Amino acid sequence: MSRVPPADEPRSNWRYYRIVFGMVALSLVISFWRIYQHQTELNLEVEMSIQELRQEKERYDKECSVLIDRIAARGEMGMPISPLLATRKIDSEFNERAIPLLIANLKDSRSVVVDNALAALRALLVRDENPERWKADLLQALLPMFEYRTRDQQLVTILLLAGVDHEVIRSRLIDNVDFNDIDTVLHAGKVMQSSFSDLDPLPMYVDYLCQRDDGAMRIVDEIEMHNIGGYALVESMNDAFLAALHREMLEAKTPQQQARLQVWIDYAKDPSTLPERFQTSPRFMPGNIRVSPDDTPNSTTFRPISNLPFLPKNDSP
Amino acid sequence: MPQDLPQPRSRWPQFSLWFLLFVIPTVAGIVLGAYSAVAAQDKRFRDLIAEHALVIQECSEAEARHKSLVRIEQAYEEMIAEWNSPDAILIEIRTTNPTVKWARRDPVYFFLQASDQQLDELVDLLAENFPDSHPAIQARILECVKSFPEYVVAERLKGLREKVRRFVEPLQFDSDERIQQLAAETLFAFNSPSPLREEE
Repeated sequence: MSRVPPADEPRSNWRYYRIVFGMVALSLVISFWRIYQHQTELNLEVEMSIQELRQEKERYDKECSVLIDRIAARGEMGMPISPLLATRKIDSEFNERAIPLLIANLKDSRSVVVDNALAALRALLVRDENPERWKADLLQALLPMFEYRTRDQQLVTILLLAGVDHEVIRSRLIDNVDFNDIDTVLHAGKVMQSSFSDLDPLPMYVDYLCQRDDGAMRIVDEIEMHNIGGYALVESMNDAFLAALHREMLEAKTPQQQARLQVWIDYAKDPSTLPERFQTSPRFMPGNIRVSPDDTPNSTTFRPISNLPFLPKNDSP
Repeated sequence: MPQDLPQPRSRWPQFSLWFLLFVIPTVAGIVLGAYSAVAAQDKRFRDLIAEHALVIQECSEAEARHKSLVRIEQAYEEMIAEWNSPDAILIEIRTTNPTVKWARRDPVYFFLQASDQQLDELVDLLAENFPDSHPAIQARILECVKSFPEYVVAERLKGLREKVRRFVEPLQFDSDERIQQLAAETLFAFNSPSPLREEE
């Protein structure tokens, strides 16, 4: 408890302290006020800057919107937009505007317009955050377009990107195989092999080919071309193929044909006889053939070809 | 008497009760209030700075997106300007490798913007340049004419059909087999009856 000064005590010191105290208090108040003012100004400045930036962003967004409409309209005209999309990412807003237009373009009579639309759809769906929302529209537009020609691979890829069930695509491909047209059979098998890494359809067309007079030669052509069908056919080699090779051998017209067939007859009996030109090809390493549907092209776990079930036993013809 | 001696003066000021009860708490309240106001302003400032950084990022993203779209649009404009006349198609035919399949991507910029008159001019130009060209270029010219239906809607082709027929029909009897074949294919593409096919 502070001591109360006696009434007769001189009060000069007290007055002095009151003045000092008052001055200090005043300077404190002024300092606080100045700091407060300064901060208010700073805050205002930042707020104004934020507002300006927001306005600038709004302006960019508006201009982007106009540009997106313009580019989408060019896509609608049939101009190729996929090469541009390949190098520059466009956001989902672009997809919202462009994809319906591109789907509509698939009905265009001009094949270039349709091809450009397909290429653009593929490029856009790869970058789409939720490509499944287009599933119904794409199913309706693309399923009737399968033709067993160049576009099929593109169609399958787009449908897969949109999350369409594999079985729907597979049944569509298999149902429409024209067994009177060897190319469609091969083509369907290749598309399925490359799209699903799926060997299921291969026995279908290998057996079919082996029943044809020129089937074995067609298989040899496929194998020698080193394409996907070639890999698949080697994987699907079976006794029927070997028998077809022998049958074709009997009917071979030229020594060249005989030599080509003999290579694969020998190979079927003993994989080590594979000519060097096939062994050295990086795309055709016998040990690197994928045999499991789960294997991806980048997979490093391969089953040696000598273990494949289709290889004939030693007592095979 | 020791009691009469004056007491030594306190070194500290003596505060009155009203000062202790009212002034000091008031001053303390003011100081605290001022401090909290400044602190609140400081917090607001920090929040604003964070928001500012976010807005700057959003704005720079919008700017990058805008630039990207502008570049795409410019690329279109350049292509459209490059392919704005039938001469561009002729240059393409003459300069590209004849052994490579007729490029379908770039000429589309001409066909999609071409008027009926320009398409007409293109057929005239190709027909005019055909006789003096190398056989490989001749084949490329026919490939180009054959590809018209891929680029142009059927209704617009009607006007060109007669002109193309007049240009291509005699070529079915050319000495070069490839030209013959391409001529037949071109007429087929235009749905014009080919005399050779009729004979077959």
